[in-house]
Amino acid sequence: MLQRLPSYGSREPLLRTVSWISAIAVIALSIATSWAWSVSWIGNRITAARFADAMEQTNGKAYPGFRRAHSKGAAMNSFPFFPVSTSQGFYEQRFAAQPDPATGKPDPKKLAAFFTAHPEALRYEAWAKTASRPSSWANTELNGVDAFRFVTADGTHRYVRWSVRPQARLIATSAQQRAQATGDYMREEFQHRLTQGPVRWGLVVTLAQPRDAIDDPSRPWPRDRTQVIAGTLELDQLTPQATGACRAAVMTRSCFRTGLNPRTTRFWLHVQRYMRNPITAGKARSLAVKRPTQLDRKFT
Amino acid sequence: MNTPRHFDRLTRLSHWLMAALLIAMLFIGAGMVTALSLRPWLMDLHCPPGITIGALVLVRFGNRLSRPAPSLSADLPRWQVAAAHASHVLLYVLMLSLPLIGWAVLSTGDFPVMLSRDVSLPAIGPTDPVAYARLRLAHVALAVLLFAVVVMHACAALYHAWIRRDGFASMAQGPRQSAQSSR
Repeated sequence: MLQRLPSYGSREPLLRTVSWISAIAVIALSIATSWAWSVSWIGNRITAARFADAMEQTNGKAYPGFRRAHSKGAAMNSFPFFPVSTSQGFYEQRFAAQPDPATGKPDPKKLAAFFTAHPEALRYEAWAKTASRPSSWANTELNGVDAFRFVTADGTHRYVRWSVRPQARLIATSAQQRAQATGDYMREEFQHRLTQGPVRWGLVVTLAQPRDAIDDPSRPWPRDRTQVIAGTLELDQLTPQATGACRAAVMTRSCFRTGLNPRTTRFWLHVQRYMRNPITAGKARSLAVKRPTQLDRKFT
Repeated sequence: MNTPRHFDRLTRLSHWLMAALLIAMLFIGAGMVTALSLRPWLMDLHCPPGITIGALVLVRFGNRLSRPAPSLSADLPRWQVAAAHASHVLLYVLMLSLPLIGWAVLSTGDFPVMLSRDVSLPAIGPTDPVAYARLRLAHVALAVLLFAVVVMHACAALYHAWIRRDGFASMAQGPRQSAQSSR
């Protein structure tokens, strides 16, 4: 038989019961509190959701119902490497670069503090000073942020970065031309161009050498790395975002079952998400209000 | 005595193994959707234990049906007996449905279900962004419910162990521990 100590209403002092109940309450509350912090119901740490909020807030203007990052226009990187190496840096950059309402320009003190904390961004600043600004999306080279691990059928793997290189020749714009252009200039130009036929880019895969940075998108790889033309990206129509399929449903592509469909591209590499990339980890969430676009579909 | 005082060894072992896995998974899952730089790492960490829990639940459920379970004594208030049974049914349902829905989330999103760097499970549904979004919301809602039930389960066990001292909490321990706690 199970022996039982006397409990309710007998010799057990009330104080003792109360202290046991308090002990249980403390245990339950500490577990619940730590979990609430993990879920970010409490606390102020930069979470993926707050990162997305920051992207929207620092966009100049919020467009309800549109994507929260790149809410109008195209989500693409025309720069050859990313300005910062971490999501934290990206977040801080967005706020540091916000125009001060008084002057209409970013606060120099905030910018200086940002560059001290993230010196890698100076490399991007130097590039941006001399980089030419293309006249069309069609003659812009676009670059992925991540490094990816390509696995061949026999199990060997290579780290790569991808870009799409325009078939159209680069035509640079002058500062004066850019100042005169309307806000929708790029979209209108592209729309017009598509009436003359599809626009194409070559899919270029750059192979990493052993010591190339595969977890830091702010560090470019040397120019002499082997490049492979792996396919062609062809865009043949433009759908306005307001009526397009790139709203409402959630689908992000930071991970692939098979990267480049072997049936359509004769490309036999199996792509696996590279695990340690810090930038797109946050970015994946901020792009979350979107279905695969045509560009995504070509790649997935 | 027809019914045993404790669960059998396999059930007890899987109880504590799954307790550890569940707590870990609830925190990994929470971190996975909020963290910035740890996000991909936590996502990869979330899948294998989830599938393990799903498989262990099946083993446990079979074991539970095939062996007698200790019964709750007659002097426990009826609402507490009902709450105990209901919460256990709920635990079993959640422990099985969460891994399945998680698997379906990855499948409908066309993500690989990686058990290790090289081993993946097949998809259990067609690629469908809308289904993906709904299943993902369901997975989150059920995980929050599971967290609440797990905390209540732990509180109830401690109540029996420390306040009522009726030996119920030792069902999931063993004869040795219960001999000590019942003195």
